[in-house]
Amino acid sequence: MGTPKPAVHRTVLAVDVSAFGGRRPVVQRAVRDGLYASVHGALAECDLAAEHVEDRGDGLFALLDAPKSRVLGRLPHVLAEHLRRHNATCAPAAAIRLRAALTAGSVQHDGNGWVGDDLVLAFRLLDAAPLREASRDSTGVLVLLVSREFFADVVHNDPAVVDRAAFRRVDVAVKEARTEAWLHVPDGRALPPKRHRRPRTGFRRPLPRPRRSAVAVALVLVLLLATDAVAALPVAPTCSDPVQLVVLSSTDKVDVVSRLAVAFERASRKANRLGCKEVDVLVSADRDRDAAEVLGRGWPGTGIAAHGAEPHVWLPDSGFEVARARALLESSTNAVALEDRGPVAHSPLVVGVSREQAGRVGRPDQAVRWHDLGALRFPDPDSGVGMVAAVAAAREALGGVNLAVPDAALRLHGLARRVVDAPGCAGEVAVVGSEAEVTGDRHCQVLYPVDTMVLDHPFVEVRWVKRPPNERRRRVVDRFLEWMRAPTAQHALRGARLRGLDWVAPGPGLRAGRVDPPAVPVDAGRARAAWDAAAAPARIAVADDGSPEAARLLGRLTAEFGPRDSLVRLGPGADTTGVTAVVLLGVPDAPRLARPGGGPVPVVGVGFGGGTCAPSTALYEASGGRYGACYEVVAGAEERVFLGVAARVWGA
Amino acid sequence: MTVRGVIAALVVVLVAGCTGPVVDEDAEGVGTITFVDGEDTSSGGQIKAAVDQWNTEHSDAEQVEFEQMPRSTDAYRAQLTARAQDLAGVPDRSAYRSECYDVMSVDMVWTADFARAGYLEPLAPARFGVDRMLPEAVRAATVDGTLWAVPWRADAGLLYYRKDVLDREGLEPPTTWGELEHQARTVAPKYGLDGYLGQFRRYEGLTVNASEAMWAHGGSPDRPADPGSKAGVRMLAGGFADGWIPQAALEYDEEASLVRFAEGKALFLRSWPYAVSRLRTTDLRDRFGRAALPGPAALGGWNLAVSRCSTHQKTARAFIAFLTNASTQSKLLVNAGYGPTVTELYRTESLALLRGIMAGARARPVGGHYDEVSGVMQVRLHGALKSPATADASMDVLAGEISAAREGR
Repeated sequence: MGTPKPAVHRTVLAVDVSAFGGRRPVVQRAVRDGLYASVHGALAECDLAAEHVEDRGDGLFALLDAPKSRVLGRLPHVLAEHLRRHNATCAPAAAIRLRAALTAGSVQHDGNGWVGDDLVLAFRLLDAAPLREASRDSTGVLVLLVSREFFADVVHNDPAVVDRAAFRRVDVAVKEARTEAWLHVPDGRALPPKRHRRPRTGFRRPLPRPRRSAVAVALVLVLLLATDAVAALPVAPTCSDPVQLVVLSSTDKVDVVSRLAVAFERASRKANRLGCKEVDVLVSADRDRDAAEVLGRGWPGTGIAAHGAEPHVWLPDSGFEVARARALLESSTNAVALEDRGPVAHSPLVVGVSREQAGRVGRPDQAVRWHDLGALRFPDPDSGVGMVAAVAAAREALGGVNLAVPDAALRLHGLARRVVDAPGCAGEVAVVGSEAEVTGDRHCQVLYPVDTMVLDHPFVEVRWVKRPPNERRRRVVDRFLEWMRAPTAQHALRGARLRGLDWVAPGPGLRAGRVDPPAVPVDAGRARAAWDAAAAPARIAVADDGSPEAARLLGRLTAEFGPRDSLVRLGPGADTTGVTAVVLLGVPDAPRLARPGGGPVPVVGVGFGGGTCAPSTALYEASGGRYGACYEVVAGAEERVFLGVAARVWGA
Repeated sequence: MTVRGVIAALVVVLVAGCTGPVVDEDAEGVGTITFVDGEDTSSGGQIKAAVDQWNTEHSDAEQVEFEQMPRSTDAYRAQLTARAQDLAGVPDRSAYRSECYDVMSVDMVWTADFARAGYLEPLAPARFGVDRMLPEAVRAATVDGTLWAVPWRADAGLLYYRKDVLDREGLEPPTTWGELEHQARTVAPKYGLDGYLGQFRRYEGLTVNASEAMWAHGGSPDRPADPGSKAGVRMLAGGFADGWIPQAALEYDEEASLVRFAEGKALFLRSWPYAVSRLRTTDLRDRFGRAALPGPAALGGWNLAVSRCSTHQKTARAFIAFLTNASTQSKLLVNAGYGPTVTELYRTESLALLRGIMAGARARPVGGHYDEVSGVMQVRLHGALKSPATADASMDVLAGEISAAREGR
């Protein structure tokens, strides 16, 4: 006799093993071990604390003090998973199929044991005919009956917790009255009741009858041996397989992400009540542009061999690539959904200069203006910082990002011709890069372009739409995000010279505090393409009619040349390798040239005088016809013609 | 083991309920299936050719789609694991039929873990004639008496040596670690060569190399604190300390060690059978020989398994039977150099050396959570090789870590 305690509100989980009684005692013992391991393992995995678990021979009941939504939303599936695991590795005779019931209400310990109407109801539901029939007809390991009130509470509070279509309302006759309840088969098919089939096990095949002799021997042995041999059997739940998480990181931060992943695995073990490792993280790396393109195609089967396992989390350096991947997905496949869960770090785009240059161009607060700088070294255009740098360059050159203005290509080229391959932070060569990168070079003094942009390091959850939602993994993704934002990881990210969410500068001599990027309503992919084209070395093949107008136009064009641009005059023996554009100045014959990557080299024609580009002319044909470009130089149109030619030469 | 011990073990096994063969005579489902294997790097794409053969011989209703997986085994394993977890326990498997990898090639050391996690279907040994396959490979695919995968390609460690150098010294290749150490210490320096190269970087190769050293000294990798296991590790650690194993080998994997040997810089190399075709294309082509390692070789290899998510299990099983039969294995041996698992294929004279090695080869212990176990081994072993003085103590610590890791903790 104990002391009665006040009534409390609890969730009641009652379970009963189907066909328990028909089994031999040794098998029953194995079944009970499997049952306890499965129930405890599932409760632990769902972070559900059982206040009390009581043995009922062929089953048990547990009182849970936990939100109903968590119980109903997760427990059935996780429990089924644990049962399948038991069944997968044990003898068919010891396979478990379970009937379960969920109710909630007031229960009280009266000094002898737990009592309460809803406790009784749970056992009534366990015995209810619809549940027994469902169990008989199901192919799964678990069938569940949920009391009407429990189900209503959950659905009322958050309809998204359960898929209502997966529950069927059934009428239940209990001793006191008739009621209704909700039937759920989390892992199998409840077959139409009319078709009578042999009872099946979770193992999907009939149970072979245990060999009598073997069982008899075992029985005798059990009797012969001290009972503590049996009592010593491990009853601690075995650990379930850790959730596999694949994290795709940008190449630039893969080192720190890998270290954090290992620490996250370790932390998952510490946090688990049973000390089980809950997650296995594989970190792979790709440049942002490549990652966006493969994700944008839905990571097709061929992508797996070439790019690795399908990611569940993508950690690019710049959100611009996420937008690009989304745009690609819209036009190709709905197999992947990308959810931007916000940044885990920041890094402003900076300019690194030599000490001498810093003294001259640096302004208060380490600000710098682009036009005060000379030669520039740009980052890898396929990296996240390359993307941000290209967008920043487009903004700077165009005074905004309107790529549609007629002189856009020429203005971008004006900035791009300052781009060099020489080492940065030496003499007058400045390097454009992320703060994280530039800070790492001790020759560099860090300056911040006015209104600089920021790499926002988003945490992107990748969902595979064609597959069923995996709740376990979803929780792990949530926890990984939490982990990346928690102090330990933020400290490590700062160690990799990134700014954490608190914007604290990752080293001395850097601008303190938050760096607010300007709002850039821009199609970053197009801006980068425009910048790439403007910055790529141009080699122009020219044929001209010898007129002064042609010479004048050519003169204006070559005046825009950067150090890596060049010109070749068409004619016998001309070396046309590497030509990027053909300009026909009043001359209608163009050689057919192919670009290294395939496709014809673009041709632009210029006719001097009205009607020289009329569709009937040879120049019109030579310039590509309807899909080409042919400009007539007439009074007042010189500027327009020049910009048109420049757009062909340096435009995307 | 005493009689009482045997009886106790029997009872534990029976009571735990993990006994008895599984009969899969009613495996159902005929239809198209997806087969996954690591990237087919064989010359002429021999795996693809085998799949094509099946597809030619079967109707449209039983075609096999071959999807190649990443070459990195970590990425491959992650892809298989994630996909199996996504499809585990879905109410209606047929709704996700196209997402299921019906037949998977799985590394021998993953098989038991995949089975325990519930990703695989049990298989009937008789259906696949596994009694005609390498027993150790079959054992590694069997958990608690149930077969979970069919051994398909086999691999085992062996010793490559500089035949020209040993001939000039009038020496035979070593048959004990003592002899090997002696030759590596005394002969190699005379020719300006490294003594012995293996794979000692912190990765799976280290587990393999250390396991072989432990077995050779009467120990076992699942009991690192045993005297034999410690002796094996001490021997390797001593090799690094004395210099007959170069320090650089602490960072060698298969490729790095093979490159060094192929450049003519070492007397001995421990590697896998595939290295022979690479060496035949180098200046060493007539100057190297192959022998069994002193002591048991580690068995490696790939098995074929049926996924739990498969709805076309009958076709899946038939396809596995086709890929693993003697005729297909023989083609893969001849055309791609893959070591067969069917023992009769080792009868030819050209495979005499491998026959002996395979017969004595041992599987790494797959007692559960192999990845974790191997991971903690690699950390401790790498430390032990770098500091011989604490090698024994490291192995004592490792023993505890392995028991925890084996339970997934």
